[in-house]
Amino acid sequence: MDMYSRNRTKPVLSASGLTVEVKSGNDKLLLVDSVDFQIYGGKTLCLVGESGSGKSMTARAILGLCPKPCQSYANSLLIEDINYVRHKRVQVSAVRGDRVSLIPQDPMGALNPLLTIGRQMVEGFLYHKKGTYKDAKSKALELLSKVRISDPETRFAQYTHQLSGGENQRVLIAMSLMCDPAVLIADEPTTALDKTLQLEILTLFRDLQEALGVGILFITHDFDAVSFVGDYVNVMYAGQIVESGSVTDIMHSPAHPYTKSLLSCIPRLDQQNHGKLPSAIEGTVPLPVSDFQGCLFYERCESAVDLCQVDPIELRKIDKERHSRCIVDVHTIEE
Amino acid sequence: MARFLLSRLAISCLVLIVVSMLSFGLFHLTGDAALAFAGEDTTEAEMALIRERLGLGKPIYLQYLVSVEKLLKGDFGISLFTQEPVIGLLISKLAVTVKLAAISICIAVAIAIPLGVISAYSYNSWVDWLVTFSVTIGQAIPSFWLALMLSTFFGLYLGWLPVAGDGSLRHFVLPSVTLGIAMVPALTWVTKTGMLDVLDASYILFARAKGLSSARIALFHALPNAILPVISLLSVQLGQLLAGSVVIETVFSINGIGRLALVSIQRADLPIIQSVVLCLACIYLVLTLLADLVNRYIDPRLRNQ
Amino acid sequence: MRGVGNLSVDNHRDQEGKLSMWSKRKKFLFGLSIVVCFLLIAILAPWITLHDPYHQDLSSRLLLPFWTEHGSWEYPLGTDELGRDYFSRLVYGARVSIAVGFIVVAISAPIGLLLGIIGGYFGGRTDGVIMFIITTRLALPVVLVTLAIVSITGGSFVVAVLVLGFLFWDRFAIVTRSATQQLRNKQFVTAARAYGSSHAQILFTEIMPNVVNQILTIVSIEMAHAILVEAALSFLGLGVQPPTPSWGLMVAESRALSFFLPHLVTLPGLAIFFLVLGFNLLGDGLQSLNRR
Repeated sequence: MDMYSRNRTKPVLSASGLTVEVKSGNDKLLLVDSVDFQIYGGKTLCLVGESGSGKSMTARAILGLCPKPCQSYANSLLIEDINYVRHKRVQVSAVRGDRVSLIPQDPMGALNPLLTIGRQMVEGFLYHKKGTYKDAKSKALELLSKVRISDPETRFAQYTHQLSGGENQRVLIAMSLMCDPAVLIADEPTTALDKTLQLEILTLFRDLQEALGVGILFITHDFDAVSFVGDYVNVMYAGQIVESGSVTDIMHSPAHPYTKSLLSCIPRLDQQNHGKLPSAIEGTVPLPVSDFQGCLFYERCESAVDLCQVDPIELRKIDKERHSRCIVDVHTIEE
Repeated sequence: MARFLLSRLAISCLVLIVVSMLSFGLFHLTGDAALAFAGEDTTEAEMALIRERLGLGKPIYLQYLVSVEKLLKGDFGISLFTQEPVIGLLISKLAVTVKLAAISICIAVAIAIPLGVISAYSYNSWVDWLVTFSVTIGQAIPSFWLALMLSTFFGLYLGWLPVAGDGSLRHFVLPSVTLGIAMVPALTWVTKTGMLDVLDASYILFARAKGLSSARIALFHALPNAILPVISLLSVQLGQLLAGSVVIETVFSINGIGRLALVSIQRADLPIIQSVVLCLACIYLVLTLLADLVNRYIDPRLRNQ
Repeated sequence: MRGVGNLSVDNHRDQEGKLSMWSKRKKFLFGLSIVVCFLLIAILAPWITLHDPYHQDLSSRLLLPFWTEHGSWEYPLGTDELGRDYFSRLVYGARVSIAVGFIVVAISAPIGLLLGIIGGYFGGRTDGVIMFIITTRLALPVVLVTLAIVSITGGSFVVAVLVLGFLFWDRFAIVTRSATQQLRNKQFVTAARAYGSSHAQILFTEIMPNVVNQILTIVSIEMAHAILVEAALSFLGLGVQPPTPSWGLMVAESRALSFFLPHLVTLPGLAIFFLVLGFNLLGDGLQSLNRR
């Protein structure tokens, strides 16, 4: 199917009730708590949160690759209109790497040091029976140049230790596109790189999406990256989505106190700080025990009231395409 | 590659030179070679004759150089006892020990590697615990005792297998099982830890994310990485096997190089002893070189060093 | 319920949890208790045995242990071919084995440590020389060399132990060297250099203490190793000489009778096994505890 003709208004990936839990002693910890989201072709959904918020685990759950002690469930997971959930379990192994690809977090460790780049690029292609070795190789070289790697022919025969971090990251991006996936999951692709490289890679993501129309789930803790590549964003905290909406809306007028705190942590050159450092959010992300009462952010929240501690807080629609998991007043949204 | 080989060969030659000097020096200086050879009842005159025959009159470094000269010409000397040329003895006995070692390694690998892999995959389960327990026990068993136990039980008590000699393949069963079992604990452990390190690696997760089957991942991604430390260990164990086979060969009366060495030591047959030491050192160097070459072939990070 | 938000469930080894921590300590304690037991047996030998292990009584040859029909408590584990009390010989044999373990390591550990630290710290040419020395030692068939030297100088305990001591330092050297290499690049060493400490000072005050942990493990394991090798040497007749009781020698002496009187061979073997096991567990336990 030609990528350009992809329907850009129906989601290419739609997850509902995605949950990841792990037993810890007698407790069951919810690492991801019944998360719903949609990814559209040609658009980027960002998943933002601190370490421990469950964002990486969400990505693993979509791919059905949660580590052994964890169990993952879902009500439905639709990828290109096919539901990959049977008996509440995600079973995507047939299309893993094919329709949905992962760009992992650690560029230096994600490639097998003993095999050549080229070999690793073509193996997925060949395994999913997309063509012959010749097809695979030419596609690989084409993608390598698309991700702006110099001298693709030579790189094809080299090994991961011969490439820099940035180059490895580009290779991983190219590798993820080998089978023309509908969805790309990028797990903190720029975290391990330094600032100058980050901008290059982010630009690459934007350009590739523009050219190929692929839907991207972009996981990060960096709001700068969100503002650069994101179309929509889901803010995650302790396994739950606490706010969702378009990037422009949320960054302009965040509704949830957690989002507000995250945004205020970023030093902004265009604001006056009056000589103060940006405020870090005090405390740490709590362990997501399943029978927790009330709002999980309560103890670190500046706007909290007593009511916040009573019942679990639902994700409420506060505007067109905007949701927030907070019962404190809504009129903080300008407009 | 050429540079690597050349420098290794140069170092190996140097090592061999030092080894030969050491063995020569040690055996000639720590005791009276003539006395050890002749025994205590010889007369003064006989001793003088023996000394002359052995060339012990000259200063030690001259003696050494003489023996080196002969060695380079391929002359390993002749046995003081049987007058046979040493080189023939070396080759024939070495062949027996190599046969024993080869079978032992096959047995060891056949047991240890699957055990290590299973143990890694079922980490922290009762299977893993059992394997770890067996490894701990196995490392503490004295090999000569194991040899005796096995030969007494399977050989004398049950009468299934021969316990002495090396005539047929059946003769090699008990000794190679003993040696093989002795090697299993270390091999299993290295395989297991190697596999664990690999299973945790990011590239394994990524390979799974690409959708590859578990079999493909195990064979092409996990195994090559896990096997690297195993190869190094195997080469060391093989070297130690050849050098340390003396006990097993004695217990089972196998006419290998270990037994040759022991008998020669008891008879103070110096030419043989020195040649055996040199030969074994040479084999060790060759084995480690081969292991390193294999590692370089498998692991591209080791090339261009 | 507060906690660190970063749950690392990925790593296999992190899954070990509390149970394994306890079992590591168990390993260490178990090994330690075995070793201490043997130590006590060796030290208290004269008080726990009824007979002199050297005393031969040819009229009481090959008596059976107490659990057999004809056995008695006078000779609890029977007697050997020369009428010597087997229990006493086993107990005094512990002295020999433990002495071997300690003396060999006392000699080889300093040698290996020194070589390893120098090579690991200074690197470059010096390390090249050290590696050459280590390679040469590894190329030597140590068992055969030991046998030869012992034989030429007339077999004895002292010679065997000395030779083993001067040959068994390789493991110490290798481990110390790699540990030192890792430490050398750490920041506290750089800081010490900047502060003006001399090499020697750094070696002693910064590097040595950090290496000691791993060395203790190797000490334990090499003691076990030395005991095994001495037993093998004595078994071959080129270690401890008769009539000194050495477990390896006892196995050799009773070999011919092993079919009819298996306990003569089994008991010394078990003794070796348990002592070696003790040292191994101790060393392993130390290593696991250090990993944290």
